[in-house]
Amino acid sequence: MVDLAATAEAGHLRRELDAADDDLAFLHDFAADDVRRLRIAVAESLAARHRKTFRSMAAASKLLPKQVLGTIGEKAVGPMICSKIAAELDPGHARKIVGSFSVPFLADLCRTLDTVSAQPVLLAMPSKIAIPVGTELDRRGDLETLARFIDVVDIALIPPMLDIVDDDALIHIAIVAQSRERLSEIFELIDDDRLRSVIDAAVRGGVLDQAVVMMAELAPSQVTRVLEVVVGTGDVLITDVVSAIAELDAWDRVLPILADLEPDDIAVVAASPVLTRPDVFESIVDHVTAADAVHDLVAVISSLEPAKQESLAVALLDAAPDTCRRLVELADVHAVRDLVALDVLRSAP
Amino acid sequence: MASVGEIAARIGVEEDDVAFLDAADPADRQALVEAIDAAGLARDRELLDAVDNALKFVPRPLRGRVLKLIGGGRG
Repeated sequence: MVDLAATAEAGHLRRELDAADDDLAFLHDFAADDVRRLRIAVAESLAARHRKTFRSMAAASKLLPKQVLGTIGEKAVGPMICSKIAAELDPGHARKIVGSFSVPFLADLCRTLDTVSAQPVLLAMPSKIAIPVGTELDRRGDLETLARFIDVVDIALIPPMLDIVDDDALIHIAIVAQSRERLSEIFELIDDDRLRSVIDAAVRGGVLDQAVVMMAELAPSQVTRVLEVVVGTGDVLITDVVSAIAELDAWDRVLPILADLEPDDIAVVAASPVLTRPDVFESIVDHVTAADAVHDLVAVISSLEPAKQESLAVALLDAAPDTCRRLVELADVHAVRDLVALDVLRSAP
Repeated sequence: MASVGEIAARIGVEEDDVAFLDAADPADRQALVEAIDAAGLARDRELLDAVDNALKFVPRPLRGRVLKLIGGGRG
C-alpha cells in the first residue's frame, strides 16, 4: 500500500530542499509522523540560519509602498525567500500587503510556507485572496500544498474550499491532512451525499484502505455516520469497506461502533456475503478473541433473523471451519447461549 | 556515509528524534545529508541575491533606511 501521508511529507521535504522528484523516495517507506518530524526539523534548521535577515526583511517591508512590495517580491526575491519572510510578518501587515502579489505567485509561495509558524498570517488572509489561491493550487493538482493550506486557514474559508475541490481531491486531502481537528470539522460540513461520493472516490482511486485508517481517527459519532452512509448503499460499498477494515485489522475501532448501530443497519452488514470470506471472518474472530469482545460480535449476529443466522453459520462452516471452532470455544467461555448461528456451529461435526 | 547521529547534529535535534533513519540504506542517509547541505548553500546564495536584487527596486529615498534594517542580517 502506498502511504499517501508519508509520500506527501517526503514531497514537502523535497520542496523545502528543492530536490528532484525522485530524490528521497526512500522516505515513503517510513511512518508519516516520523517523516513529518524530520521535515519540520530540516525546515527549522534551514530557516534558523537566516531568521534574523528574514525578520529584518519583514520589518523593512513596512517602509515600502504596497505596489513596490509586489514587484520586489515577485521579480527580485522569489517565492521561497518570500515564504520565509511571510512567516515573520505581523498578521495585520500581512493582510494589508497580500493583495500586492499575484495569485500564481502566492500559490508558489505556499509550497514552502511553514504553515505552523505562518498560521497567524494565514488566518489573517482575506477570503478574496485565500479562495483564489486554493483554486489555483487545486487547478495545478498540488493537493499536498492545498491540504496544508486547508489545515490552517480560517474555518469560514472551508465551505467555499470544499466547493472548489472534487471528490478525488477531497479524499486525497483528507488522507494527507495533518490536523485531525480540521478533518473532523470538514467531516461535519459535508452532507451524506457528498460523503457517499467521497467514499466512492476512495474506492475508485484505490485508496480506500488509507481512507479507513483516516476514518478510524474520527470521533465515534462520525464513524457511525460513515457506517450508516455505507450501509445506505446496500452491498455496493459494504464489501469494499468491510474488506479494507479486515485487511487493516481495524475491527478494534469499528466493531464496537457497528454493534451500536440500529439493528436494521447492523443486519445489512451482517447479511453481506463479504462476512463469510475466510480472511474477513478470521480477522473478526482474531479481534474478538484478542479484545475479549465477543458481545460485540453477538450483537452483530443477533441483528439477523434466525433463518438468516442459520444461512450465515452454514456459509461460515463451509468457508472457515477452524475459525468457527475457535468462535464456538470463545462463546462457550463467555456462556453465550440462545443464538441460532452458534447452535448451528456447535452442532457441526 | 552519514550516520543517524550526524544527521541529527546537522539539523539540531536529538538522535532519538530521527532514530527511524537507522533503518534506511546508508547511501540514502548520505543523500539526505547532501541534499540538506546543498539546500543550505543554495538558500545562502538565494538570500544574498534576493537582498541585492530587492535593493535595486527600493525607491532611492528609502534605500538607506531599508539597507540599514536588512544590512545587519546579511551574510
